[in-house]
Amino acid sequence: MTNEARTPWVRLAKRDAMDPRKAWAIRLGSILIALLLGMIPVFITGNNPIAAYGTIIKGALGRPIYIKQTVKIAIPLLGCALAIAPCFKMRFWNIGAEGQITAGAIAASYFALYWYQKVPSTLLLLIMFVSAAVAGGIWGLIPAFFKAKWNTNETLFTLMMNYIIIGIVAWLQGGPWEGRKGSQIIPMFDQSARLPEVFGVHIGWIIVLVMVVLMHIYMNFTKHGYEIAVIGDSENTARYAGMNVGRIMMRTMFLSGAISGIVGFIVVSGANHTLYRGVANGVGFTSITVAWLSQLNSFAMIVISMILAILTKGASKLQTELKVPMSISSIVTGILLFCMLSSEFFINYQLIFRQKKSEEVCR
Amino acid sequence: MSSLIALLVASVTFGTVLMYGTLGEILTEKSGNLNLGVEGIMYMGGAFGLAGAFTYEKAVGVAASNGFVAIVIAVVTAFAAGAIASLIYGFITITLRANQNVTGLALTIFGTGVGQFTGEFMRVREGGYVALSNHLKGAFTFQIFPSFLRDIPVIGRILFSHNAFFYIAIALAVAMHFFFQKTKTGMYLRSVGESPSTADAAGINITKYKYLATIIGGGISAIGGMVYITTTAGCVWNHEGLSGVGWLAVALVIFCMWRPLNAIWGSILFGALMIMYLRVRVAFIPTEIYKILPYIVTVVVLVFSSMRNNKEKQPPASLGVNYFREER
Amino acid sequence: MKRFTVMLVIMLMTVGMVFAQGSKETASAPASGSTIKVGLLCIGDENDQGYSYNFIQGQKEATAKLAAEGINVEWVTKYNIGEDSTCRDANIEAAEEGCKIIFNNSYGFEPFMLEVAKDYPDVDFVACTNCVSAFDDLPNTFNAFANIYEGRYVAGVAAGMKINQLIEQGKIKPEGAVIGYVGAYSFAEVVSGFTAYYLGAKSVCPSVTMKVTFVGSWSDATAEADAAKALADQGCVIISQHSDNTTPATAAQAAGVFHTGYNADMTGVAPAASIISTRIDWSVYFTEFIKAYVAGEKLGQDWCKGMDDNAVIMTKLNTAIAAPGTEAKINQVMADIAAGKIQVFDTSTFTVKGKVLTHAFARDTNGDFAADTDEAVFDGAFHESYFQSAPYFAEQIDGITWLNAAY
Repeated sequence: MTNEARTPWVRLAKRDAMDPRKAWAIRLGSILIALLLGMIPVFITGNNPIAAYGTIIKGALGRPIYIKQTVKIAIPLLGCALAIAPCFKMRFWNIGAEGQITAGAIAASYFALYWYQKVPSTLLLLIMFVSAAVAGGIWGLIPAFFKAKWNTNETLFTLMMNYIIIGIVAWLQGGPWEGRKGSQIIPMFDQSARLPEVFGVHIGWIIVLVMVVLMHIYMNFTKHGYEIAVIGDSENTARYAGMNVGRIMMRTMFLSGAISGIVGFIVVSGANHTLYRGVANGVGFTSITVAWLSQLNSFAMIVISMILAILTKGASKLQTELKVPMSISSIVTGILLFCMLSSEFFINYQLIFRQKKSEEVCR
Repeated sequence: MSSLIALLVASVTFGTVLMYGTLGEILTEKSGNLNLGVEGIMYMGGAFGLAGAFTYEKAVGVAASNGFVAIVIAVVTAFAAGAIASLIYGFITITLRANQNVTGLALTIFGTGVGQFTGEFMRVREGGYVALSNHLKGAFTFQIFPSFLRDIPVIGRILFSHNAFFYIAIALAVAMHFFFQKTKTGMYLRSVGESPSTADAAGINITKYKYLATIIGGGISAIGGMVYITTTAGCVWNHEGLSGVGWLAVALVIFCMWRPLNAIWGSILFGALMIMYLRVRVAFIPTEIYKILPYIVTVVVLVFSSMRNNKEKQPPASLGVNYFREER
Repeated sequence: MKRFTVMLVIMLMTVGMVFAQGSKETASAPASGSTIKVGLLCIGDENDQGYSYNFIQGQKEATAKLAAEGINVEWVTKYNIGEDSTCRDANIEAAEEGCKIIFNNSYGFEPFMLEVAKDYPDVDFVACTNCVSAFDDLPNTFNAFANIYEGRYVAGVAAGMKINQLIEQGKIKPEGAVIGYVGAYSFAEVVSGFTAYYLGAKSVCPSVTMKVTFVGSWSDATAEADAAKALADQGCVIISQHSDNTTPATAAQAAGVFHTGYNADMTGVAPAASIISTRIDWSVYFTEFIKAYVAGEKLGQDWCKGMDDNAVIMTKLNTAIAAPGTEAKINQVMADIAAGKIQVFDTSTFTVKGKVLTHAFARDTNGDFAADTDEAVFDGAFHESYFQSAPYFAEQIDGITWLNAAY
């Protein structure tokens, strides 16, 4: 009897492992639900939600140039999600990608602005690439060092690092790197410091796709990847196994920061051709959700980042055509994230309802 | 001296905004929930608070509108917006056990979108700008103390020259302090944040505490957004106005070491750092560097507190970690 | 898993194709009669009650004026565009949607606009308030501005008269005649504006001095309010501004000082403080440009008009608080400016480091951002907006203190 009183009518249990196909079906279902919920704000503005989604798709993929723009939005999201993946796998909550992108962008911009006459284009781009990776890596390494040494809370530390580096860009904009006096605008890069284009989109897309493959291999088939996974499961297990957790943490964060830094390079050299404080533009935050929703799976990230890019790009069409505020894309993105986060619950847990009394007695 | 007083008085305006954001987040984090959605919550609070007062004024007409009623409506709508936003966060992290960092960021994206959408939608509907009348604007910034108190030299301006929101925030901070330190419920809440499994074993309803702290905390943070729009931004919706305020509040929580009383002076200090470049000029510090001081200070505090490993000055032990009874 | 990914991509693309083909975009329909599609990209929206609001007012007036002449304008308006690559995207979208003319309303838009302009030679791109388009080698890029310094000079006269009244009433001493100015950046457009304002005030009140604070943003409601408050705290009795929001006006009113505005009539938000505002009437330019386009002509690549063409106007004087006689005085000054009797930057009225200004270049031609061509000082005055529409007066004249020059 006491037993019955203590057992709630429903309880949870962790599922062992769901059939991946079924799991992705649930995720797909959650995307559909999110798109349905996302219709509500459109409806409030007095527009036909279905037409609105039509406009979004039209605005994002309706013309070759729109597709190119959409892809351009997806590139940094995807690249940065790749950077997030190893940290989150390790349960190191790096929310400082925003700052690491910016750090990379600063380093790349320095060479773009001051070295373009000294070296040929290819070499210049290579220098920008490497320096951006190093700068981003160092910016990521700092919080990892303190985490490894004194167990300083990395979530809050990486968060603060974002605003520090963004402030530094603001200073550069109005100070040493300023173009026309008082304008707060850093001049546009010379042609030689800009990424070449393939199929009408800067080659950043090739770089990130290569990184997708490399990251997949790194995470699944290398010793490093294995170590990261072990630490993610249990830091103590890793210690008992003789791993130097602090060192692995710092190494992984350097790698993560470096990838974010490369994204920063791609953004300034490929898309913006100049540097300004909003260079990361929230990508560092959004990409965290991309990485997490993809289950840290490199290939799934391609899809998720494309979906978010389509929403962002399509929404601007929505604004001019139906006078629905552009911010609708953030709302739908938010709802999408909520639904997908929730869906994980149904994949990882099962609800066990209290069985009938008779059975319980039998048991 | 007088310029110092002027700086202090000016810092309070923005400081009050931060204080609400911070106090709300402290309450949330005490339950072990790291809600990174404060930015979004404050956006929603700002938009809905303004929308509430604006709709009220339109409904009854400018002449008939009552400042007090408008304030109450703005507070209630802002609180409700924040509470609903936090309820979403709470449901996904507490009941559905999703990752707190990711859910918080999702809430920031969502809330910023909802806030901007609401502000912009009102503009489109009105066919112009959305602003409160001067009458109500005056009510929101009304100095509640009589002039003879305000005119006391030095102390008068420092202590008595602010609007009601400031004093309410102080009262809230003090009340929260007593709540955490002196009441049973408060101590239970702290134990939920420190060690949920112990609390659970002691028979404390973890879920209930976490939900209530998150929802009420979110509501309080949202009031900060409303106070921003109605006091410092002049009762006009401002598309980018609130950007960064919520993150500053998150930083401030760390700076205050999760203590409500510290939030009082901490937020005024942060408020001062944000506007100091307009008043105190040091030749070798560029203006933009002034603006990142709050974050640098926060990092330093964070690092030192972790180095000293003082148990009193640490984040709640289970911060950011969901509680699974089954994994106990 | 991989199969799923592939499937989803294919699905999305199919959906995209269907929508793309199913609905021909309205933009590609040929413009019938004299309907013309025009883009307007704004850095903010009407909620600022200032800069972008002013453009939207101009847009509305221009639409009405053109409609009266049988030209229908279909606007594609985009709000809250950043001064970053989103601006490039917005320009591309507007061009793709069939806009024949695209107005960019913020200074920082120009570099991104210019990159798009290359790809759409049939579309005219206009960068308002900037200065590169007029002189580059693209025939389809334009600059436009108005002599706003004339309006500021007039507003300065109104402010000076108010200060005189305060001195006469014994409320302040002559040496307490300090004007506070909230500027966005230490940028020629801003410097030129506050110098003109100061010279206007000085023309009626010789003892006046001025303090300028730069907030470091075109639009930051909080910082603008704080800056105004800080200036009032430092003894300024009149506040003026070159920033996008109305918060300096409200802050001035709260601090019990007076104010003159920019972009919009601010007497509504601060009836006890705001005396008058000056603004650019963009409808003049919009109307001219669109009319010329429809007629198959092209305006010059650099457009600049002033008070004599009503491109710069004063808002209604707040007679309840303005000093007596202000109305008559400013009407006189406006007439004199229009007639060329008053030169705003008359070099006999100010000094730079104690000396009369005898030399200053107007334009930069070698790309190092320092002016090196076109002598602007001649015939006893600095000629603002003469060689190019965008202001280029950047001297620090005596009597004006820059409180923070970091921007």
